[in-house]
Amino acid sequence: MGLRMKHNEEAGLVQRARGGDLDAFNALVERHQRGLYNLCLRMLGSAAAAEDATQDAFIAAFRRLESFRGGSFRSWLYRIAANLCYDELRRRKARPTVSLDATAEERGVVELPGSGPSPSGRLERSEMVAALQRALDGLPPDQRLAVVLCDVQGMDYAGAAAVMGVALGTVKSRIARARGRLRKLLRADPAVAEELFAGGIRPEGRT
Amino acid sequence: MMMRWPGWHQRLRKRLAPYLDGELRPDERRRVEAHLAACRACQEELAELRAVTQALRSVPWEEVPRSFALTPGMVAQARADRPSALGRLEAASRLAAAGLAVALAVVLLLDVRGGHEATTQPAAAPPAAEMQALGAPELTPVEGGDERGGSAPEEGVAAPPAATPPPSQGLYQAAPAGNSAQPKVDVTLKKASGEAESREGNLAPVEIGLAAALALAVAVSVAIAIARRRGWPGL
Repeated sequence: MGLRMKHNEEAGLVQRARGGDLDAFNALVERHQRGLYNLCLRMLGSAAAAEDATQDAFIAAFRRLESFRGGSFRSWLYRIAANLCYDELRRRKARPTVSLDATAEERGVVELPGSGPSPSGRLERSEMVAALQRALDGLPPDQRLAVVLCDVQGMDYAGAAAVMGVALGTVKSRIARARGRLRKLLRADPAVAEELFAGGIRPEGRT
Repeated sequence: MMMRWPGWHQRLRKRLAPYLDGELRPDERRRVEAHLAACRACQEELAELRAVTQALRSVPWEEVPRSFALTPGMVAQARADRPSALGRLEAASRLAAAGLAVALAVVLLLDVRGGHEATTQPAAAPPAAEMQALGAPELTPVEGGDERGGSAPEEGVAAPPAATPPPSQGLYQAAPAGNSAQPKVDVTLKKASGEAESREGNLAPVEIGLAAALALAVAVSVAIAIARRRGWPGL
């Protein structure tokens, strides 16, 4: 039942998929699709783009299965997806108009059932998620990937380093810079600043 | 305050995020904690960073909008995919460009050196012919300029004793005629011109071919690179 058994089972699926067994590969898709989709969603900030990137990542993974050299299949898979997200972000930078008119739904903001204006005046969760996504969108891709892997995906620094193909120290500094920047961006966002930093927040001048 | 030197605070500030994540070595961790105990600004920053981190960690995972399982159709499509074919074409054209550039350089080098050896003795005419032969294809490729360019100077030296035909017509035929009419024509000159002709007959087309292929290979790889940068679908 432990992690090890899960890992062995996965290695077996990879082995079979390598031999062209599509069902085995789809069992791997089944395991990782939610995590991979959410990685792409937070990297790209758009549900439609995340859907494309996720599908492309699985297709690319199946085609490149030969180049998987063991180790964590998830890291390998996430790396493929992260590279596709980088490509997409680069394309957007070349044509900036495309990403600006994404609708709220496309941006991954989903109305939760029964989440009307709450009596306590607390923010709706979806609003907070939208604000966090806006802040993530304001980070350079490298920093964004680092915090998405560590905070949204819950990986440790070593896992993130494996996905990003960089040294541990690089992950450390990217996370530090990303969080510092997120803090600034969120402080400047009137929709969430008070809620997030309630009590602790002070005018910048008084610190 | 436990600031050991200017910048100590800044240095420890950068450790706050890994400190929160429990990713510091024990000695680093102790140093951060010692500094935190004394530094109000870092306490506040830590509290805010913690709030940011907790907010990010509480972002719920969305459900997948659909299954991403691969269908046999997708796999077949991926196998016959144009992107990968284009990618291979790009790689191949880059490799070809590199190889062709080297080949062209080698041929040009050999040609220039061979040209010098063969033409030091007779006269200044063959080198000129060679230059023209090299330059001609780009200037007037339609008229078959390399043949004319090569034979014209030779004829200019060998033919005068003969009937001096009008320069615009039948330059090529005029040379043999001149030769047969005057068997005593300088042997070295004849040899030199023959060599010039054969060299230009063999090497120049090789160079032209290489240059053209090189241009094509470069054009293909550049076109694909541009298409990719513009984000054309499927690239």
